[in-house]
Amino acid sequence: MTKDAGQAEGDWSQLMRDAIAGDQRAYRRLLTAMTPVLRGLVRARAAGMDASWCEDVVQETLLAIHVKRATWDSGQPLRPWVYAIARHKLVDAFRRRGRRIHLPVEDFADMLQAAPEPDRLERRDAGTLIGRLPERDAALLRCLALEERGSDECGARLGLAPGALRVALHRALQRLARLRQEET
Amino acid sequence: MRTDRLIDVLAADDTAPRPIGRRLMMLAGPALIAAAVLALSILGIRPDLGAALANPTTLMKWLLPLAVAIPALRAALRLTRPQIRHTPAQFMPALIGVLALVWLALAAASTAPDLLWPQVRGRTALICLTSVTFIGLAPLLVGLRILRDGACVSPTVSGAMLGLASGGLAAALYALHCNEDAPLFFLTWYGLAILGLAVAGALLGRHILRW
Repeated sequence: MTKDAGQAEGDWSQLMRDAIAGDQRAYRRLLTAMTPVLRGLVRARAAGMDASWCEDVVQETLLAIHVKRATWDSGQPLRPWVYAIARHKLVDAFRRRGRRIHLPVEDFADMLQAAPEPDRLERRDAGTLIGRLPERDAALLRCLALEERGSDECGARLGLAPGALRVALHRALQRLARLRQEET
Repeated sequence: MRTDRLIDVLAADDTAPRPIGRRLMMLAGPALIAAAVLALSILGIRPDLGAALANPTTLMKWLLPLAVAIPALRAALRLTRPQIRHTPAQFMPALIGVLALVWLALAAASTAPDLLWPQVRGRTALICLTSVTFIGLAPLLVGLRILRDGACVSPTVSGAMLGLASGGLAAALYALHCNEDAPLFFLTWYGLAILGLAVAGALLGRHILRW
């Protein structure tokens, strides 16, 4: 391992320790630093898949990293844990794709006509999944993540005080992370 | 959804993550104790418990189930970490199972054929099976819900380990009541009850523990 990699290693683990202790800024920095690494990793393993499919896997991995962060042992380096999650999510994405592809063509010929962009069928990014959450969870995530409004504005719109919004957001993200598994 | 917006939203969720091991002890532990207290309050505790614990053969009714349960629990917890695909502790229950089978075979070989089935069957086989299953099912079901927040890469194995842990602990607690001390009896029925919970854990885990 080069000195730089060793340095980066220490940084990731330390950022995650700070994040778990409640430092949101460290957490955002960590997730931002991880994203290009995850993107490179997914694209390298998923040659032939389009960029939007890869980006879905990256987003799913980030979401899994978030909801599963209690499973990281803070005495261990973070990187192997992150890679294990990315690998799991990539395998899962391929498995789902395999299933879809083996469906008889007749069964979704109608859908193909209804959706002119072929990869729209493949793509079920978090944005699409949000619609299947319970209404209040969906409304909150739609406001925050898709419309990209601030939490004050979303709280006012949904009638949630800041504390209630934090609880609601936590629950909504946990449910979002579970949706994929419940559908297969 | 843009990825950097997703990061903002994730960073805004600052509810502290809760360690799985501690939650398992705090929730599945009480579930086990509650089920055991309920079962034992109906069945009663054997009056000669002290003497039974002093007898090395009878002591195995506690030692063998615990030798299955403790490594299985350890394995179930270790395997909630996604980078851990195998752990030495997960093979320990199989080793104890083989030892129990060897003992069972030796005990069967040294018993007259016409006495074999009466000794295996004992008087309380059905009560034993149902009680151990009942006691063990409580921590298994509670525990599976908690392990669901883990990141188990082999859900079937993780579920089986939790089943073995629940079954082993349930058998050790049921042994406080059970006064049938023939190895042919307890190796057979404790073994089957623990195995049944392991299978239940594996089948449920396969679905519940996916992520």
